[in-house]
Amino acid sequence: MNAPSAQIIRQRKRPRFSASILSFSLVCLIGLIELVREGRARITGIPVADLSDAGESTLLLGLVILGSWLAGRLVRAIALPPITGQLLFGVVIGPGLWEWLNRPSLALISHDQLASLHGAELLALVMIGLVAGSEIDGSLVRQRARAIVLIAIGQVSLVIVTVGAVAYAYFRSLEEAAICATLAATCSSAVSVALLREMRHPTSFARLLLATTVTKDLVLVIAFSIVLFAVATTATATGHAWYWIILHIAGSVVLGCALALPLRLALQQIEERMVAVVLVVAVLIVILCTITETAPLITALTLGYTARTVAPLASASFFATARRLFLPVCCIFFAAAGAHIDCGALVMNWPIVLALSSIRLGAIWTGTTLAARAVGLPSPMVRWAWAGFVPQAGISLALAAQVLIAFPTQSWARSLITIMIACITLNEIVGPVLMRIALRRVPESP
Amino acid sequence: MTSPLIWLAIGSIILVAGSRGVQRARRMFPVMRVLGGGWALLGFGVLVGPHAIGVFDDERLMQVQPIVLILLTWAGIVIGVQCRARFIIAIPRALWKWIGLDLFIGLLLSVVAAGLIARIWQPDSPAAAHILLSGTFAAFALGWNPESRSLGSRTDAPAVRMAVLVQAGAGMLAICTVVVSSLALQSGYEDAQGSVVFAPAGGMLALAMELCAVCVVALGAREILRDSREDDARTTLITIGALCILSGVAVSFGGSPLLTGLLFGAAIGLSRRRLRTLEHLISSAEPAVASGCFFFAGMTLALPQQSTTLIGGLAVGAIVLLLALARRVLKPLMMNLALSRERESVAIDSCAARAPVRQAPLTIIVLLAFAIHDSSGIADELLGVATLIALASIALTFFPRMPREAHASMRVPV
Repeated sequence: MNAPSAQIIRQRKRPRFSASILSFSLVCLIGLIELVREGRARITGIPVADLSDAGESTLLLGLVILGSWLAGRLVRAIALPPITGQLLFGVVIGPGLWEWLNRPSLALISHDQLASLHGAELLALVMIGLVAGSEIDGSLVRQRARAIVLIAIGQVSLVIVTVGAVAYAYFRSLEEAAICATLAATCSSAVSVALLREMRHPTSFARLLLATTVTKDLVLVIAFSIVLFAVATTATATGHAWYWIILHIAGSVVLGCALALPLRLALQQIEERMVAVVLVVAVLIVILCTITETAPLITALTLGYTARTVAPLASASFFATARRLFLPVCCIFFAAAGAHIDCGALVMNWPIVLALSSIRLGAIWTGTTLAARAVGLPSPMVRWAWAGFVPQAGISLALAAQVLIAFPTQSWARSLITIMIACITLNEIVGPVLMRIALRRVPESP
Repeated sequence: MTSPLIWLAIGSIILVAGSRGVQRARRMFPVMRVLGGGWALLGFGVLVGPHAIGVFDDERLMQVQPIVLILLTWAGIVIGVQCRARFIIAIPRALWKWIGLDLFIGLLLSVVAAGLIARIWQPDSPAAAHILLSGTFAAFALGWNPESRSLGSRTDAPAVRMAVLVQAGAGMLAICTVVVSSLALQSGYEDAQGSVVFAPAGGMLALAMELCAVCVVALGAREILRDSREDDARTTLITIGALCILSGVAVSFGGSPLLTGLLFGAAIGLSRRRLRTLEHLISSAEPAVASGCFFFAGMTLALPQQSTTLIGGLAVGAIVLLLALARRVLKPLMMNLALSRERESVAIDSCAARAPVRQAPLTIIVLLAFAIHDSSGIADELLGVATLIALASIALTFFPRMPREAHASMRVPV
């Protein structure tokens, strides 16, 4: 046997990490963080609860990044998508689970510390948007425009009608049912792009799912704004919904397009330190969106798509670097999303949460399958396309938060949003698993 | 995210520093090679810092502290990665002698100076305070600037050998400086009331825990990266995660992020199987990390309070000049002593031989690590003095004027 082939065999035989080693590493990591915090508290006399300085922030960030990656790898061993592991890791370290179990002191991250991760979460959301935008294949969208539109219309209309009906029966309020139904129709671009990046060679099916999700979410954000405005005019709300519509949609898209030109010029001037450039662009988007009250995800999505289309050569290394940073970004974003999950609310409202989620699932399945069959997609796609629209995450949560902003004093808004967040949480956990099965079952069409 | 201005400022600085225009300017003006890069950013840091325009006040500086910690840890890793068995074996005897001499004399002078100063100003200060002061002075005294290309362009074999010795010596002494200063830093910590407690025993316990934590992170990262088959994204993730944890561990135990980074880097460098993707990632970020450290050092540094009056200012200036002159005299002397038997193979008279006169840029980074733990402002003032000494030592390198070096026709490999 010659040397190179022996080396190849050696490489193949090299053992990959088993589930037990990954679990041990995860336990070691959590133990290490606890040891450091306790050790410091013993030496300096500062109680663990009072440690909130720069060292504590970096320690927690390290825990979130490495821990959620290990958890993602761990669940991969049982054929689940890494996102599920990252979300579950977030649930375990976050305050929601331990508060529900009446053991708040066992949470590794407190509510205050979770709030301090908000900046990192926003950055992660923007990075996901940038990568998602760059992944949208313009030619595929043009080719499959009919399929995208029909699938989006099919499932959105059915979800709105069925979920709306159930919500009306439960809440006995047309306004609440309308908000609930529109929120249920949204799905997650972040999850789609994360699962797409997980595949070494994304199939045209995966790209179709992403394009449909992005298109649908853009339309739904507009629809949600209109619903919110309509409700605001009937109920006595703060009434800045029109401002919100214009800024959030038109403003986000315009800002994203406007940023593409300076980005192109900057990329022509800068030849090194691309990691820094990507981070700076992400930070700038967050700042501009905070100042102009626009949506960071939509802005980043638009910028990613425009820059990739307008300057494919100049932006190539920029997006390559963004994709390299995508893994840590996903770890932060999904672990933080998991840490935000309110397990108490999920358990307390489980009958209505289960009912709404099941109805939503059924409506997505029926609407998508009918539309896919009508446009003549290949049969594996027809069978599995629905599973790509079950996940919910960032954009759904952001829209839910807008209800609380628009109706800060109304008690119905608070209870409605608790139920909706519980539904989103359930779809957040179940959705990626279903989507991954779909992506695996549908081969690349010739 | 509470202060967008901070991020905007940092962002634009990074973008401008990496732009083609700045690179072109650096190539056009020779002075930029000596004072460019880090020094320019240090100047900019001073300008936007709390002592000048004030774009960054103390509160905003606190907000960016996690970034400073991560940069310092990264700097430690860059230094630690140099600990490779084949590098250490290849170091000639003469260089070991030179490093040993510099270390011995540097430490001796630091301890004596710390003892004298403590006896004059604070006669009843505890012994641990002397250790801390000695460690701080050691950061001034040990090592030198590794860069010698800006001083001359002789390419004959003895001159090139001299430049290589200067660079290798600076690298090894950088490791010594980080270890010595970090050990000293460990002798004291801030308690719940915010006052400094000098407890070397507690410090050593904290150091032991710090070492355990670094070992766990380094072993875990090494094993994962071995399995990753040089995967770019995973290497980036592990590096960022490890950086965050290492910097958190260091600060939690009152230690220096430079030391935890150095130990992690050494574990990677001494690894039997080379992790090329990680090493490339670490080395490619080196200029950005150095620039970042200098920028934050510029914002943190302060001139001694005494320098506000004319006489005080003159006194501070005189001390700075004296210390720079001491470098000008002692460093070449030590070099001559160590390399006396190598005169035929090493060009002691070349311009590269003057590089040890210049203070190591690492001094500023070490003092920045001190400043993170110190809320009294003394470390900020020491950082200011270190900057002045570094600038004075650069000026003294060119005094007396260097001979014009003959350009050899071809480069001779060492």
